[in-house]
Amino acid sequence: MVEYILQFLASAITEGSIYVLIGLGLVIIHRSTEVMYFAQGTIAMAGGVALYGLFTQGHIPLVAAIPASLLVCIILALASQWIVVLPLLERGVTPLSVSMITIGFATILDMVAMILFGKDPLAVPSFSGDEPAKIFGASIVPQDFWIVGLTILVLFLTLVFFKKTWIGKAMTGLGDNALLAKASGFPVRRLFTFSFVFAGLVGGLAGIVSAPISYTGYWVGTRLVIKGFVAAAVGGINNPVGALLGGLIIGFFESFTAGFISSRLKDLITILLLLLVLRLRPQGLMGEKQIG
Amino acid sequence: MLLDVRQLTAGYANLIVLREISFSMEVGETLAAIGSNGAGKSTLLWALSGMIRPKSGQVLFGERDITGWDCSRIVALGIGHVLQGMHVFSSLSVEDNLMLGAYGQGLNLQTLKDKNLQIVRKYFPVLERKKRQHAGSLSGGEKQMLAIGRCLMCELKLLLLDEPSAGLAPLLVKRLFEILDDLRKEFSLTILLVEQNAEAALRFAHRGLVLAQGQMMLKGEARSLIDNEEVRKIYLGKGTTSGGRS
Amino acid sequence: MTSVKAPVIASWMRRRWQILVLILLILCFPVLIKSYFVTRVGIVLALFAINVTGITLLTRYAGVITLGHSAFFALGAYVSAILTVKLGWNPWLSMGVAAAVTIAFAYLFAVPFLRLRRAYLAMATLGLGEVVFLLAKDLTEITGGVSGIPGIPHLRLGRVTLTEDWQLFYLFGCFVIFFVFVTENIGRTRLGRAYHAIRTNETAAKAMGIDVQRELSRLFCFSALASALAGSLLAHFITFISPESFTIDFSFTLLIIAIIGGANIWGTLATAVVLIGFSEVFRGLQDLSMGFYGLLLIVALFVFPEGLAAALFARGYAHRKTSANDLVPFILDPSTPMNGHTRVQCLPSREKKILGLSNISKNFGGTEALSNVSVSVDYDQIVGIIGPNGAGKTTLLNVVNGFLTPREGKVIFQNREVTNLSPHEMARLGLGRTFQLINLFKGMTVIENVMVGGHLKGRSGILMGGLNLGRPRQEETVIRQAAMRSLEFLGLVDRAYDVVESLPFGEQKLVELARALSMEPALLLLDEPAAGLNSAETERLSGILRRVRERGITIVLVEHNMPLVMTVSDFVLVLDFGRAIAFGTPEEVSTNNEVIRAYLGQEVQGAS
Repeated sequence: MVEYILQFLASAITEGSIYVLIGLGLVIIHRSTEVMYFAQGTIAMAGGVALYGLFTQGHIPLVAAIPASLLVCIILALASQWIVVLPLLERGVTPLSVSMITIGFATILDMVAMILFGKDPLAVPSFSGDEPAKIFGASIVPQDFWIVGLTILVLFLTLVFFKKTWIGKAMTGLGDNALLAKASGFPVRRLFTFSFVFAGLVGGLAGIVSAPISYTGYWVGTRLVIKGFVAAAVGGINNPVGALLGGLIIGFFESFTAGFISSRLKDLITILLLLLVLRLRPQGLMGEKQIG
Repeated sequence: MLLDVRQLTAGYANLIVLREISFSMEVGETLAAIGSNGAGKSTLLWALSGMIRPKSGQVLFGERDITGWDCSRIVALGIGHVLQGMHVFSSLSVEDNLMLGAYGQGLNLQTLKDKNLQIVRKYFPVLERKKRQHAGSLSGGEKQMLAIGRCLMCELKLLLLDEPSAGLAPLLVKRLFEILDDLRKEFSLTILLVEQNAEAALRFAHRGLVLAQGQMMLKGEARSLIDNEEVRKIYLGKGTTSGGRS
Repeated sequence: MTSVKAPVIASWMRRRWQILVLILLILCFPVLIKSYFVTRVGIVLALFAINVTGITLLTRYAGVITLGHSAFFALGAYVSAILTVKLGWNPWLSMGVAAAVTIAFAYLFAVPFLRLRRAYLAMATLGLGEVVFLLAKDLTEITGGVSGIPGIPHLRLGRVTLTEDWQLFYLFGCFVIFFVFVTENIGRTRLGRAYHAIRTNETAAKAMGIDVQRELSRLFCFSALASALAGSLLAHFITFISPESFTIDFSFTLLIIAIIGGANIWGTLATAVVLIGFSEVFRGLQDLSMGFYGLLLIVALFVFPEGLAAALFARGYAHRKTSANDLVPFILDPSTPMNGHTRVQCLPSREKKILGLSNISKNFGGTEALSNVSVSVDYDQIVGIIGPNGAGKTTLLNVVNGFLTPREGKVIFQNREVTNLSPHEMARLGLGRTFQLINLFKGMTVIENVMVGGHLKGRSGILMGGLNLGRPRQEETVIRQAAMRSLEFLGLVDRAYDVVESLPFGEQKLVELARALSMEPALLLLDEPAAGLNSAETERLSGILRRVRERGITIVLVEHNMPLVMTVSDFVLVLDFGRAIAFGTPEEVSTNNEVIRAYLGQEVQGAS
């Protein structure tokens, strides 16, 4: 029994970590720009796919391939900011419409990925082998440790960033009170850029660490961004802690469903959770009630 | 002359709120802009601090033409704008709120910040006591002090205050004006004060400006505008026959 | 009498040439193009077109972003398939039941989300689309799971089984024509204006009497119906369905078509033809189609943000400038009161009071915005409300209007208690409103804006309005007449066909007034009508207000412009910090010491 529970916990935390990373990017961008960044999943996909290209195909060592893939993601996120999001926002297009347009950006990237790497699932080997470790009877692969470990590292660094650095605090302030931020002379554009760099980084990381677990490919983005949005919606779309909570909650729900009900239904349960949250508490667990 | 405003016209979208306002301010002077609502008082401050771009006219600060400049550049010059409504960054600490006041300047010199922080501590000791608290938990008066303190962090030369007394109890208002008085004496601070509480503002200021419907109706020494029949008429409607009842 | 009909038909044909072109194209298409392949493409296009009609109204007009219409498409297809294949039902009957089931589903599951903010609604629809897709994949016993349902029977018309592509094309074409016809009619008339109003300014829409929740639910169900029928037709066309056809890509494609096409059915149709046509023709590159759509979307939004139709016809909204001939002649009778319907006639003659507020208190969080405010307004009076900033004046108007509910106190309007009524219900009872900052509906012409004021003069729903026969036409005429009367009254007739954004500020304020007047209200609430006006315009406003009162409309106005308030009001209410500190004639109020102190402030003891 204990192994069963531990196994379930392990997979819950592992899967949840991925969703936390994606959700975190969504929350940071939404907080500063009010845009729902539908391209986040595709950015994650780009990370995984780039890793495939560099590591599996290009035989570049992991130590170099991973940072290079992250760089690709950051560049793509910045491109979306400069080409799409900022120009449209400055023209007065509503954030909601801009959100829809990020879907367009995502489909373009998906198409590029498909052209470059084809339609077959792409295999990326695990970072440190596949020999599972046995912990109290539960079997956990090394990649899971990478995922959870890196997520914890990212969370820690994020916390430090937002609590200790001035840019982080300024970004928090911007999310709090955009008017005051402007009146205080904040370099708002630069802060936006940081939000996108951050999102690119965490999203890319999510795609990179999860690529070895499940095959990656051009279709992965859509699935990830939907889950990421569920995480953000459950937790509260303006709160990074919300992303953490939301991601873990979904991880748990999916694991539970897969383990104890049926693995086919796990996606369904997640979506039903989204609908339930939107119906009962649309602002999420950590969100503030909005009027109207 | 520190501030020279010439024929300033400003508004939002296609709504003109301010029409051809002209006035000037010397270093160390306090000017009170009074008038009832819709007169354009807040708009004046928004146009001066870069929150909105003027539609026409000129704003000169020192020797520089700062017309149409962006907020961040204007803050860097030492012009601080305290918005109406006791705005703070509620999820950050009091200390962070203050330090972020210097963030806009671009120069994050530690010494500069520390020096200004000392000034803030001296004049708003309550902020020092509560420096680790979330700014959202402060009382109204404390938030107002925090807002002013934040401006002090950026080598303040000109302070734009938007209805500082709004929502505050009279005793707090009195205290606030006392602190402002001390500040302006020590640092030759120039203050442009927008207020609805005309009497309090005029007693605090050197000169006054009366606005109505976006236009400047009267200008003059603050003393002369207090208990002034003209001012009263402007506030309560020109040409109202008082019927000898006053 | 028959000789009168011919010119009417001719003028109709001239105006509605697009529909005729469409009908012609559909009729000729299979005849001219003898290619199997192209006819198939045409069928796919037709199915998309049916879907697009609903989405155009919902997304581009009403501004509801939906990412899950694949759900309704799927439901229509699957229910039809299941009923005909597993239960052997008649395909037409199944189609009807599929449509009914889908509408029920839309009503039960999507409509409750309509009251959420648009962003959350978008996510909810995304969720719904995914749920249906996943259920289709999982409920293998019912839906055939991933393999789908094969062997769906063909449709039959009488004794003819529709197996040939050209037969199906004509059948589908009929559906297309019907839905396009309905959509176009709605777009041009009362409901279309209402949807546009909801999108551009929901607050003002409510104040004009539009029941936003109800209109959006009905529209949503209508669009679900369109998709469901298209889904059923799809099932009987391919005779096989599987979950693959009902993914999120389908919903995105619809959305992209709507965004690129604009608020105009012809724009969206044209876009659909181009996008889907290309993707069908270049079948080998079909996988790249979503990427191309995304690229087109981004490019389109930079080049023509209002949509394709707007770029081609230089208008953001589906409106054609009607010629003078189209205006049904009317006679402006100066003696006609403009408040015909809404002023309650049957009150006992001693009832002078139109509005009574007793002990109204309202707070927001910890702040008391209104404290125990009581006032009464008689019929045919002009009452001004003044007070320093934050005194609660606009809050008071919002309480009367129904946007806010007081914590305590009662509001009595025309002898009824209305404290808890919502804004559109208040509008129905005869309350009109203008707003502090301009709350006009951007993208519509002046007369269209004013006609929204007449929304309550019509009752036709989507189908009636869509067919545009009989009653809806009469309603349009009545609404247009009321609008023209208002414009005449305010001297704005020349501007009737200009887009509101192009008007100078002062005239925009008048348009807002005209809009409220065409509601023919008994009581008009004006929030700072003189704000931003210069002295000449303010003078003019003064005169207008008096003439409005002469027409039998009571006015309550919030103002800061003292000269105006004092000259035009019969009585003035002064608020300070949420309390009523004075009520009397302008004389009395301007010499009241408390009032003077409230405005000019008091000396703060001890300040230097």
